[in-house]
Amino acid sequence: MFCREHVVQLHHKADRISAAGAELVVVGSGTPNFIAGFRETTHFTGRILSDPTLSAYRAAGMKRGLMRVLNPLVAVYGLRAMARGHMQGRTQGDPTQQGGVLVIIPGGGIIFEHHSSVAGDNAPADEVVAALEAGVRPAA
Amino acid sequence: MSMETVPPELAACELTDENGAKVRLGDLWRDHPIVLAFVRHFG
Repeated sequence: MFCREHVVQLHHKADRISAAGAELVVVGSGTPNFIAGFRETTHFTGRILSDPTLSAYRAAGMKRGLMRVLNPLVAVYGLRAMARGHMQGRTQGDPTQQGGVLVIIPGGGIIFEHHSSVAGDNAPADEVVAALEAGVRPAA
Repeated sequence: MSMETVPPELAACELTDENGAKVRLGDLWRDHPIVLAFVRHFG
């Protein structure tokens, strides 16, 4: 549910992301055949990539471990996500792998990064988009 | 102004889209910024 919730929140900012000349790209740890189902539940129409070997997660410094899923905070985040109407579906991918967000500009500069500490610890979509907008704004 | 840059190993990663096509991550931010969201899984 956390994954879908986060993508839906970011997808709601699609207009602002496009206005900044940027693209939202989603990476998941499931195999490519699970992308269609994910797309259906999130209504996300942009690029979705599969990384079952977790090579990009590792290279991006995303965290991993069972205790990150069993952390008590996860229950709080779970109730919050459910209150927003996001139920947990059948897990497709490595459930101990945490996610996160990077905002990357041409040349490879990282202008925003968030590495989830536990399941449900997502960067607020507003913060992500605000960082993007600030990063691409021409210098005065 | 100094800024953290993407590790070369991340730029070199090749991931697969739903059509089976390989996509090199570094190509995605060559021409425009991207918001790269890593989800925990497709569930």
